[in-house]
Amino acid sequence: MKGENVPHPVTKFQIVSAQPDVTAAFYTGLFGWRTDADNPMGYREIHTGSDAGIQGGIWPAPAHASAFVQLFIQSDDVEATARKAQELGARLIVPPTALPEGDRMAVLVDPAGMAFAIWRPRG
Amino acid sequence: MWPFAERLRQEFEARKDKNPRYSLRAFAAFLGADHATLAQIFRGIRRVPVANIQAWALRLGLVTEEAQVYLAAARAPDNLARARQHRLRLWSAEALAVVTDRTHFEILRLLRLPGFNPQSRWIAEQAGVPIDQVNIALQRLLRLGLVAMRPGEPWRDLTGLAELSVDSFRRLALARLRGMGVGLPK
Repeated sequence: MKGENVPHPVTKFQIVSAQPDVTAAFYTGLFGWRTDADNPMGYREIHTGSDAGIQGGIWPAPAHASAFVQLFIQSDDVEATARKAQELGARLIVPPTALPEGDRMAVLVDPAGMAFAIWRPRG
Repeated sequence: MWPFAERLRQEFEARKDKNPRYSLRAFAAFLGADHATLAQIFRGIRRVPVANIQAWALRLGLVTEEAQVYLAAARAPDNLARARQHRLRLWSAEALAVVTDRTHFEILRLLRLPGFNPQSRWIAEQAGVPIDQVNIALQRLLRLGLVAMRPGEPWRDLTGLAELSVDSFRRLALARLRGMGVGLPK
């Protein structure tokens, strides 16, 4: 698999919330984070205001879903990593997808039931 | 073994340690239970009836608080039932969303237009719904394999429907949900 011997760092976190505005208001109010949704998907990018740690985002969830946090794990080859994840027992939720601004992403659920994303940022 | 059954077994073992001739039959009689029933409970093939927990706890001399813990544990759905309920709740919510939220259909309808702009913001404006609603519906369509967003390609409608209508979309989406085995009742 391409990229098998390269690191796969966690480069982003995503809060999935049925009340994304409430979530954004809470964390920006608590930590002084900034959110910016001025992009084609209206995706609420989280800027923590620090170079330490990783940056994040907020994605809307259906009303019945509980809020949770997803890790975004970087890969040069989203398709191949998603395939390997499935071989290891993960369930594919969102197939490898190209987002409007050029990021690539797949969402899976690991064998223990935790959802995570494999992604390749644009550029 | 269920928590209260385990507690009963501990009590039985403690009595046997003191008196090796102490029998299951004697323990059952002490509880006011049928010994065959108690044997099945110890083998894990039968649950302690919830109605009996309080009475048996009283016989064992357990404090009320401890008895209440066993009662609460017995009344809570087991993991299998909980998982089944969870799947059913998820499926119902997903199916309801497919049936009631027209945004899914709107995304597919707009996708077929020559001037389609592959941006949630544009879709939201055209459909007259909030952008979050578009993103939730779009993710659902991706998950159901009804839309593809692949690198270097325009978004693709994968419904295979020559003519798109609200009803044809609903039928297809519900069939996909069923096919994905998200805990659908047969």
